[in-house]
Amino acid sequence: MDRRTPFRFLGRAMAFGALLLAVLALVAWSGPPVTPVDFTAASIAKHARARAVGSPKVLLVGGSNVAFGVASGTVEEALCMPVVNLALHAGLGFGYMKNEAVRFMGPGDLVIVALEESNYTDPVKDHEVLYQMVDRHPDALRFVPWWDRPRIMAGLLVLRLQSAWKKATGLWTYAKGHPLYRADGFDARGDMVAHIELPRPAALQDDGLEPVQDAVSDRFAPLADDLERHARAVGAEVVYTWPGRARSGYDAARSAAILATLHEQGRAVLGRPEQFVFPDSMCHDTRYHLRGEGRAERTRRLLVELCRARPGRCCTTPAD
Amino acid sequence: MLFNSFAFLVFLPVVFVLYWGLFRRTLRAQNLFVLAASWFFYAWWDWRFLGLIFISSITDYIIGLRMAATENERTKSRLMWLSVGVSIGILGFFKYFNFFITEFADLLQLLGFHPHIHTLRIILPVGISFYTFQTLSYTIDIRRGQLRPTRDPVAFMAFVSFFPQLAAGPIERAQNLLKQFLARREFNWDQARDGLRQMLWGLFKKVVIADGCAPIVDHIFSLDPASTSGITLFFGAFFFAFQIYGDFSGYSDMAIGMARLFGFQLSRNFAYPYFSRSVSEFWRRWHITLSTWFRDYVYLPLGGWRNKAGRMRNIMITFAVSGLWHGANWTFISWGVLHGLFHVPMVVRGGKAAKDDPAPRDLPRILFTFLLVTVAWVFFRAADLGHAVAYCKGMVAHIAWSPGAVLLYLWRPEMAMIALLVAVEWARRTLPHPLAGLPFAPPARWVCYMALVLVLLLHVDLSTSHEFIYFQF
Repeated sequence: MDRRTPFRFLGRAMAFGALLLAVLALVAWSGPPVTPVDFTAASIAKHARARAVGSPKVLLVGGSNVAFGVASGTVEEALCMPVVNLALHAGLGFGYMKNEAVRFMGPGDLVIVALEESNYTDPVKDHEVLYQMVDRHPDALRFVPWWDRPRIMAGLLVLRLQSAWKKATGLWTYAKGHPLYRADGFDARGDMVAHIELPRPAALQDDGLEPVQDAVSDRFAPLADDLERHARAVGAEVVYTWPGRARSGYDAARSAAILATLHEQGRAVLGRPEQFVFPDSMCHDTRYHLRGEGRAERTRRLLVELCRARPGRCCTTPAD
Repeated sequence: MLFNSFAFLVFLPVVFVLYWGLFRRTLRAQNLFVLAASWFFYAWWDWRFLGLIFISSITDYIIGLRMAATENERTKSRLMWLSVGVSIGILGFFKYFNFFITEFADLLQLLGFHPHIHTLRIILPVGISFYTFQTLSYTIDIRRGQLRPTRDPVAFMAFVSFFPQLAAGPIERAQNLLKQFLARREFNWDQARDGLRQMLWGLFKKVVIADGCAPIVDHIFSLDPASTSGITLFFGAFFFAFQIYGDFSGYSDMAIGMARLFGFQLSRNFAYPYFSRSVSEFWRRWHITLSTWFRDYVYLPLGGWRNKAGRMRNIMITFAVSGLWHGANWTFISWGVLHGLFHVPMVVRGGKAAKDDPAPRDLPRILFTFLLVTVAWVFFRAADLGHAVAYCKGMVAHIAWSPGAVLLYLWRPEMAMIALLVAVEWARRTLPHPLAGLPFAPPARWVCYMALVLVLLLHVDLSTSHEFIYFQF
């Protein structure tokens, strides 16, 4: 009988794969995390707060524009509800953010979604920050679709190998942690506050919008519908608003296209995108990261629009 | 679906298991499954592309049968030209429509007209240039009496859309690949094992060499050539030479290796081209299946190779068309023309490309050929013709000798990987690929493969998707 069958061959290849996996697992187990920057570890405290505060509450959803640019304390005072700022990074994608919000929403909750434009264009992302998130907070894997989890795990092993190599060869930067992007740079509500006290960098990072053909992807609507369906099921409400951003990076036509699509899809939208555009001088390091004055003003404008659209939600009305 | 993606890492073993497990019993089952897997693979990019490959396949399948059914030579010729028209029409629309429309508008403007011509938003289907040439050669060969058409539509469609070589070749002839679809495949352990090795080497070239060089190349080619040192520009072209080699030959190695897992032998597409001793030898070693396609279907039918002037003219036409095949841009055409011009000395002297293996004594000729090819790559990579000319001028005009700058580039880790590639390929240049028949005992071989995989994983960039350059053609 011929022993050199395709399945025996596959067995050999799998044995090699298993050996490789063992080497990678050993490195992953004994080596450093994928990056010395522990920014994504902030998610652990955010989730703990979301579980602890109960409902009704406000969940803030979005990328770093929400993490850096909303004063949750002010929102809390205006709405008389605890606020959990779940936002961290636009690179996680709307798909991830939606799953995260669904996990923590409860009766009477208000979910305020302020997505960066890239999340309308590309709502399901394949960004390295996803790996960093799972690396620092393994529980976050549940917010990744089940069919994508093996890929993230495999990628994590590869990144752990690379970081071990970087550490061994002295290529790691921020060995003592990043001065800004660090887990302890957030306050109890989940707002990034470390940047408020830091000196403003000389120039903003060049994170302008890439030109795109369609401002809103076809993949956005099913995710947004799913979020709203879950919200209705538990008695929560979802509203959309705009990222606070610098004037130099504002693309009026693209934002108008997003607004038109949101209206077409029948979503509740607070304000217009141009209301949330600020001078570049109000941003910290990127065009989405508002500093003290900009952050306060963005929060005020958000509350003005919210109290106008949902007067019953507000216990104090901010000055218009 | 990219070969260097996680999705493919799942796709390949699943297809392997099903192919040899459930569908191995009959030829029909094997072919049907290969076809289904290939269409799934292609639809992963965009399911709308499937319609195009189906039309292309079925048209040439029917034309092939009709040609065989008639004895009338004129009808045969008409059918062949119909096939050429459909294939070139599809290719021309998707690939060249906007190019010719804008060039036509520019010409009218030169003549004093002010046309309002609109271009279309056309997506270029992946692999269209490759499978179109494959189906074209099929009908032409039938017309020439060199091939009998197949009556098996499944085998024919599987031949056109065979997933390992669908996106970027090798461009197969029916005489080689279709023939293999007409006989049931048996698993061959040695071939499959060697195929895996070839895939590993291809992946190394893609991930480590091509993707490693890409950021340096992108950076240097984005600089203003007028204010950049000649050494920097030279290294930009040098790294691009290895980027495109790693990218394209890496893809070909993976395609050939993968096909061997399923019992197929694809044609060799690269034979260590940077060890060529002349530009004509380079074209015997670089993208071999395209070179031979142009030789058989463009250069030879032009017919004028009997005298030097005719030969030169036909070489120029062939290379210009070959440049145009790569893309609707004057940079590609110029690249082709430049290669045609590089053939002038050989045509004048009446020499022929060497066919033996290069030896150390050939080093000066190898380096000179590499230099010529590298200069031509500037035209291939540049944003437009003006940029290419400025780049070449910058390389020459600002070539101030600077040992520091040279050391800076030689010291880069990417250079160490290139040195490794060159050393390994030189040592193994008589073999189809460097990992073929390693002269070590099995445990040492496994250590060798493991080391290669770990080097590869250290270079994987998970933050971006690295498409293959030749997918755009």
